[in-house]
Amino acid sequence: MKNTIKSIGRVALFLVILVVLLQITNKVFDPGYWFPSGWIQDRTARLAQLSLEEEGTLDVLNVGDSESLSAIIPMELWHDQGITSFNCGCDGMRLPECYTTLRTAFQKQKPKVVLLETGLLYRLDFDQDYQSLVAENIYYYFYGLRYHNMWKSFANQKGVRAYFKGYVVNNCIGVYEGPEDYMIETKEADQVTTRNKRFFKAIMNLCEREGVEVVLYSVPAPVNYNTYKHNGIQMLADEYGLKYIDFNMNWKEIGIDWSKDSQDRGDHLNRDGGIKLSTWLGNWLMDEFDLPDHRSDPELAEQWDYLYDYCEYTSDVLKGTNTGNVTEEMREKLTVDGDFRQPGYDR
Amino acid sequence: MGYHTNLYLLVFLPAVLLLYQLTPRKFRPYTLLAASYAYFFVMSRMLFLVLAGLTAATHWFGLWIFSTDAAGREALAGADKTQKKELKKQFQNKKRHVLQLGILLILAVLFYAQYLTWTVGNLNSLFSVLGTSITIPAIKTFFPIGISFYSMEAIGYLADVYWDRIPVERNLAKLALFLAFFPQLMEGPIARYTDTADQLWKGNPLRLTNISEGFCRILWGLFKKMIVADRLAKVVDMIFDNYRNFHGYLIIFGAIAYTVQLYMEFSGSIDIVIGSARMFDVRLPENFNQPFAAESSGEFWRRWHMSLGTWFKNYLFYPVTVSKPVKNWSKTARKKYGKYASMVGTSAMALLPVWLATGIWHGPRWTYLFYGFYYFVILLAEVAISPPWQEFAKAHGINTDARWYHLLLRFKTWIVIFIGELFFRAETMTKALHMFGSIFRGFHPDHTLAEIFLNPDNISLQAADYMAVVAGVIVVALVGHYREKGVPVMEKIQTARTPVRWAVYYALIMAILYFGAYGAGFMPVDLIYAGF
Repeated sequence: MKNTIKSIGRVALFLVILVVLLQITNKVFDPGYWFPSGWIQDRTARLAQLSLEEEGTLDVLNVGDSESLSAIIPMELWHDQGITSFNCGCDGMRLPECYTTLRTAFQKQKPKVVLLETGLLYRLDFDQDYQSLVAENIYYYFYGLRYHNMWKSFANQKGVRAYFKGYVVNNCIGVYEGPEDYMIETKEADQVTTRNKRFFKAIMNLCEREGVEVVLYSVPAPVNYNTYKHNGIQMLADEYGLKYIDFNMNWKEIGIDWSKDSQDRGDHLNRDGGIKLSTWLGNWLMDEFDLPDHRSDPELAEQWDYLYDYCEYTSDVLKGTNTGNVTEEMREKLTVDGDFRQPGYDR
Repeated sequence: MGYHTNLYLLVFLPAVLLLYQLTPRKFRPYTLLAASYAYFFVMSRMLFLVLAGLTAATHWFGLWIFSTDAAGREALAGADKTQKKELKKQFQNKKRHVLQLGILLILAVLFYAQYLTWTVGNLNSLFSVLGTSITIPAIKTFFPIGISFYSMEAIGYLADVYWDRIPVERNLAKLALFLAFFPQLMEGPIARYTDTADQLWKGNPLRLTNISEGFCRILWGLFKKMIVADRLAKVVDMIFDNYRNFHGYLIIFGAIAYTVQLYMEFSGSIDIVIGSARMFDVRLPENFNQPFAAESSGEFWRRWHMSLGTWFKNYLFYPVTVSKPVKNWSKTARKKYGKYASMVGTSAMALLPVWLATGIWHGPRWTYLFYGFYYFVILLAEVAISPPWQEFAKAHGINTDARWYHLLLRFKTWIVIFIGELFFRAETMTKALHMFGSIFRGFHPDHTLAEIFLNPDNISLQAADYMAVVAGVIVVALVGHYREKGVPVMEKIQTARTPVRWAVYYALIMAILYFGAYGAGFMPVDLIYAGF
């Protein structure tokens, strides 16, 4: 018995020291604390920048996978309606990651609306879902681990992507040539799985606790979406009494032109498509929610107008590229005072 | 839930350890068995029934072999001298037929799961080439994880019972645990019944020293896999997936990168496996012993995937060598052609089935079969060349003990290994031969190395990733070097004072957490050998 207690004590001491070490590294890898947040250049960059946003300044948050990433342009919502928003979507985002993203965001922000793109509700993989769940819980407390790749910037060029409140410019055009009436009429539904419903419920509970309204939306994506999914999401929305906008149903109304507005043949929208969707969504948000127009706030206006202009400029420079990656030539154009100009959040 | 995933390391393994410790000693093996089947269920769902069925069949055939043997002994005891010889032969034949039936059944399941689709495809191609209109329709098969591993263990068990090396196991649960022990399930090492069955059944309580040893081994495995192998996987994929774009030294680089990746990945996951088992006070057989220090291909295979080599040696090589046809041939050849020719011929007869089986064991691919045949040729050449070379060296005063000589041998072995792995990694023979041919042409690449290996359009690795790989390889090589010199590095860490030991653990943990390839930009890389 004595030996058992001794052994448990040793294990506990080992773990305590480990936690202390991880807490120390949390500080080292705290975005923008020691190292510029621009050094984070992977999919975690958005969350890093979100955590550096000034407290209580964002009214709308967007979460979802790459579909949402390419569709919601915060700069447009600002420019047209004065809405302060952040696109914290991620490539391949899974529901546990979505939960942690919102949980992290709510530490500093009190948004009125969360836009949740529905693609991630159809991601199915037992292994990956639960691995993501474990990883996300660890990252939440030991966030240094989420940004652990930051050390690579010591050895690499800094800044290869420009983020605009989470949005990355993509001007590529991939013409969608499939049928336009891809949303066939049917009553059948591709229901969200029980597991994903459980994860979704956790997100809903979190938002409810924070007093945030959730809006479900689906980005127009003929190669990715169909009426079965639409019906499945509609059922979920009805169950929770949520608003659901399926842009696959009204892509004509928002003016999507499949010969110009898709970056990859009907999967993701490009910047032009994103502008159209964001403009429509901005008007809808202003109609449905009592969102303030922040354009009259000089402090916010200075930052957001600058970013808007810079986003336009970046978009011009990046014309013709198929990703947000910046070539050496473009880098030179986007370099100010010897450093690549990452729209900054650094302390 | 591969062994390298957070789900296994932070949830499953700790939960099983806790549950195991909380269970009364008598029932601990059952906890391990339940955990093993739960693990299997998570990985292969209802296909756990295949494992359960194979286990039941192995158990039953074991008992049948034993009862046949017992009946034979009984009959012999009551028989007179004239009957004895005939009876012995009769029961021996029956016993052998039971063994053959048991092995055949296991191999049939393995064939159905692993090779049927491939065989049907090849037969259809053959029919098409012959101009016949015969087409065998595609048959739906299944692939339960680890089937190649526990099938071998089951066959080994039956053979050992047959040869009276072990007593038959009457306890089905004990045999089931031997075949299904979760850390071994996906990647081996392939154990003999005497290696692990008793240890697993003891249900020893958890001890801090075992946990500590196991923990250290797991960290070491993760270090190899996450810092080196998972990064190199991207380089290897880029070269092998776009092999037509690469020539000359870039193909050689691809073969070397794959060899290093495979070693780091496989030996790393075996470290995790051995470490996991160690926590339960179970010592699994080792699978690697500094294979790149080998000075011949034969030695390489005694150091690489050792449990597979040992299995084939015990259950195929020796039986073939001592079989009547080979013995008779050897005797005749010795008289007719002399000792040397007889030795080479006998080796060829014993090596050929072993190496074809080794090749095809890896899966249904012609490249694997070629890989086996390649090593057959190389090993036979080593057997054939060795005696005359020794004589030549002696006659010409070549100092075979000199350092340069050993380095040369090692370098030669590396070349053999790299070529072998090139064929092993390529999915088809066409691709493998194209890549091999490309080595000898196009030594003037259009692009610089940086343009190829640092171009984000080609690969998502950065200069820092390559630095991490190099640093990781240096650390692993240094540890290997000291082990080769006889310094038991792991044991030294275990016997070091607590602050030193803990410092090593923390250093490893921090290295893995901060320099490991995981999280953003890295898709988890599946365990290579889990697919075999």
